[in-house]
Amino acid sequence: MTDQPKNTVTLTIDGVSVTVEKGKKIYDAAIKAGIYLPGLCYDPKLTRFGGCRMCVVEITRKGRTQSKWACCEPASDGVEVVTNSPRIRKKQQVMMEFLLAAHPLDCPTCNASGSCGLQDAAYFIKQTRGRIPLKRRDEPLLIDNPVIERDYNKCIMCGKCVVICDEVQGNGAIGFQKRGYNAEVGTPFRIPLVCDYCGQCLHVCPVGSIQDHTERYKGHAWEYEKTNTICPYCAVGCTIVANVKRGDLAKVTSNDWIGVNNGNLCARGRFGHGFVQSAQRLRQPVMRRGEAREPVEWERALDSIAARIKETVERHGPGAVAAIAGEGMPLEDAYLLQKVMRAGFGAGRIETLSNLRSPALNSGLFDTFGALAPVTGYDFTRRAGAFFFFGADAEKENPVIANMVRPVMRDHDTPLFVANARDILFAPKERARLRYRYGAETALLAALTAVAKGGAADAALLTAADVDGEAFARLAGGLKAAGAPLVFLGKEIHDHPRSEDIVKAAVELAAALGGRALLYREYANTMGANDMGLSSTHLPGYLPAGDPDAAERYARAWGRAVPVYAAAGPLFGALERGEIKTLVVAGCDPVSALYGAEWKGLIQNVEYLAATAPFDNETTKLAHVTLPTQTAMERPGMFTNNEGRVQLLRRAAPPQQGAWAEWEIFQELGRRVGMPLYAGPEKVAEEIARVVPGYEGLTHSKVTWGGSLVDYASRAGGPRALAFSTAPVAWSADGAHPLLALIGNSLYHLGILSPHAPALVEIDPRAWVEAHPEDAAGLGLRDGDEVVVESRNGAIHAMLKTTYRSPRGIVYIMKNFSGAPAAHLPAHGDAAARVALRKA
Amino acid sequence: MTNMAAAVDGEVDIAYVREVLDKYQDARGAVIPILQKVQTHYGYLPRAALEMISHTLRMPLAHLVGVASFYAQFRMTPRGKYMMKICCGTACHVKGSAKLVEKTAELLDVNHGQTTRDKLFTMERVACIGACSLAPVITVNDEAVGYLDMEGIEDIIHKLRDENAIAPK
Ligand code: SF4
Ligand code: SF4
Ligand code: SF4
Ligand code: FES
Ligand code: FES
Repeated sequence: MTDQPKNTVTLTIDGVSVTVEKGKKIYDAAIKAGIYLPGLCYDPKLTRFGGCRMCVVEITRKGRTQSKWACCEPASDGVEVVTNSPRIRKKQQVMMEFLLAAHPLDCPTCNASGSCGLQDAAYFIKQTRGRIPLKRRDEPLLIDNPVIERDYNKCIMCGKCVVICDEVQGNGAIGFQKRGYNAEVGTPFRIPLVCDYCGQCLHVCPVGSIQDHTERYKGHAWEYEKTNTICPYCAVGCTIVANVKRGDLAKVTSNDWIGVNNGNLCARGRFGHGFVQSAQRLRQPVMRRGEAREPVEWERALDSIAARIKETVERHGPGAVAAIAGEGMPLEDAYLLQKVMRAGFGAGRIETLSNLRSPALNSGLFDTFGALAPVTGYDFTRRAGAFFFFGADAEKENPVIANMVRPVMRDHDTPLFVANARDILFAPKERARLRYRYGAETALLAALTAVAKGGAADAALLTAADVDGEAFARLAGGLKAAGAPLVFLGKEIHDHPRSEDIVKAAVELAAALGGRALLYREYANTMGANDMGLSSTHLPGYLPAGDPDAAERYARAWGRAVPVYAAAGPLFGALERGEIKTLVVAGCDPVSALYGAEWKGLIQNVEYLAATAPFDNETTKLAHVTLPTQTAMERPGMFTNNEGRVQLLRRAAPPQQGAWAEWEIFQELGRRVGMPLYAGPEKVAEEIARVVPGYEGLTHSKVTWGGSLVDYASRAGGPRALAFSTAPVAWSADGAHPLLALIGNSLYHLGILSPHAPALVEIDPRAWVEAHPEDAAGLGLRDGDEVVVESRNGAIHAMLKTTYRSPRGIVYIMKNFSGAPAAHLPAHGDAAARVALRKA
Repeated sequence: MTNMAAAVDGEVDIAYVREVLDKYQDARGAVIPILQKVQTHYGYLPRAALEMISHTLRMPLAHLVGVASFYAQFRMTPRGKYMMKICCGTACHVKGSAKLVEKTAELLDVNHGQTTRDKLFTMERVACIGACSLAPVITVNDEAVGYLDMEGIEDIIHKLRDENAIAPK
């Protein structure tokens, strides 16, 4: 044998030679060699198996043959493995006899039929009727929540659901209960299942014991056409698999072998697809005439918008037109929007929701940080010395990041630390947990950095941050000892009025310890929208919009003049001064999403508002023209995730009639001012791959499998000096509004699509607010009460949840409910509000 | 199966649980001793106590209850003042313990593992208690009563009922 790297072993399985990493099991080697084993309890991503005995194989080592379980036996050099001898089959048939003796053969009406491990295994080993009389358990079908349905008569006790819920999801919502013949997997006391509703358990269940309740009777495995695409919700960028039967999207599943998520999804990704076929979808353009909104033809609506933009630029100059774009829009659409606005109409004021909040962390990211930008590949999770979740509730914000981290903690004992303004826990268990005063983040980070660099923490900083000294010492010491942390900055930081300084301080801490920072991004294509130049200050590839050379570069590429544009201050001020006459809102709902109730009035007051959206929302209701759009699940395209990975969107479900993809809308607007048309999004992608720095060569065919990372290095240049202030933000006391309200996203909602996904609405139907039990008791309130949350700027109704996650003085509200717009509680420019709670 | 949820009572003072947990701080490995202490104190594992233990040890409730329901020594329903354990081991079986079980169940109107409404009796079937020479045998609160026949069991139950009657009928 030729020399081979030390960390691999080579063996033969049924005569096929296969090389795997050391430490892998024979089962893994069989998977790699493409040899099927009828094992039912093994999953390479879980520990604890060896329960079903179906993976039995014969191993010959130094002339000696033994039977072993492939899932327990490490692969080792030179062994010969046989998986298909008559003796093996006999053993498997006996095991199978026991399994089938207690299994109801409900295959005709079981949704797992056709994708059932038990069926496959029994068929594969040519099982015949055994000697044991069949006996059915007669447990009721448990439908006690909106999405996960359990029929434990079919359970074969493989334990995978229990293990994945614990090891990967950190939830432990189900466990083994009782013992012997009465043993079952389930909830304690058989209470209804209340959990993250991620559906990891149903994904790993080899039989039909746990099923997707929303799929019931929609189809069988063999009837579905399966398409891989990217989840339309958050920036983690999980691969989802759409299962479509005769044009109907029946369910979303996941695939362990494709994409960044290793088969994990959160409730949004797995159960949040109902918006595609919702009856509420917009199917025709509408124009406002007086108070009434009337359906119109596409041509007329597009003519109106193009003429209006042109006329506004001619009469009031290019600064009178603005666009606000959503970040759930694919790259092609984002790219065309800015190209048409800039080169078609000469207008350069283009923003995204996150850019409006913190430009220094979005379009200005590389100007601010250069090579230290908090964009880090997920593979760093496997190399990190520690995880530090700062201002991040990863379990609820980016659940699949938490799913990536837990197995690393399990396998490498990597310590995890948490610091938050609320008391956020991380399961299984954080090494140290710290709560700090909201507004004093930079002080705390500076103190941690001082310790990391071998010094001592300045007592004044710790006082400012109001942290527990012992917990701080554990955290600072732990981080320093572990080194190379992955510092994950969550939504609390992302939205913070001082986010720029905080991220600088965190980046410095990470750098001091040889680690990396990774910044939470809210929507599926937030990173890509920035990359594509949806910004007043930056052209695609982060080239400065005010730089004549950069404008010239794009002018040459596009064959049209590109304005050299230096933005005249924030959009908010321009709207306030009445400078913006025509506003285009593409694929988002700024009225609900932007912090500050003032936005609504400002947006309402522009002379002409055009909106694109798949559903009516608070902004489209104000629009003069609304164009119905396809969602990301109905069309090809690309998204760029958190880590800068460009991934391919495929048409996962047939487009809804009457809706257009946004890129088609933008190119039609462009055509009206003489710009070229594209044959499809792949052609737009080819242009991006030609002209946008960092995206060289990233065409649809290039990113088909697993995606490709954007090359930010060229644009980033060297590291920047990161000066920041450690002075805490003072929260002025306000007797009438004694509580501080932080605002977040529910685990079950995000953006403009989730309110139209019936399963998510059923799980989480209405606004709620978390408060400390004693704060609540002090106000005479109890868990479950209907309350009013009131700030100087407005009031919303919500349901009270008492929890120790909220420390005293702090409440936490979800912004995902249009009937209760939490984003309207803070003043513009802020992300938190002083509020009072009272009984409704 | 027994409906555990229905029999759980939430009105328990869990101060003692706190005390035990303070002693075993951070000790996931000490689950069994903690459960034993709590059960000795309350006579069973109250749901509120299990929730507190789960929260403190950061052990999911589903797993904790899984452990508790795996071992026969733990019970999650309140026990009565008198624990009637009827031996169903081989010797007792041969001497007709099945009939004793039937009779007791009839007299108390409960099944294995359940407690009477007046919280006086809990009945359990158990494996050999090591007093085969007295078969068939039962224990009432750890006191063994041997050579029991139908009348014997009736006598015991009536006697205990009478002793505990608040006002004679
Ligand atoms: S849906 Fe997720 S959290 Fe709920 S039981 Fe299944 S694996 Fe656990
Ligand atoms: S429910 Fe499914 S995954 Fe869970 S133990 Fe039973 S067969 Fe295995
Ligand atoms: S919402 Fe985010 S974490 Fe959840 S499945 Fe989609 S991409 Fe993954
Ligand atoms: S797969 Fe190996 S024992 Fe189940
Ligand atoms: S069988 Fe009953 S005491 Fe031994």
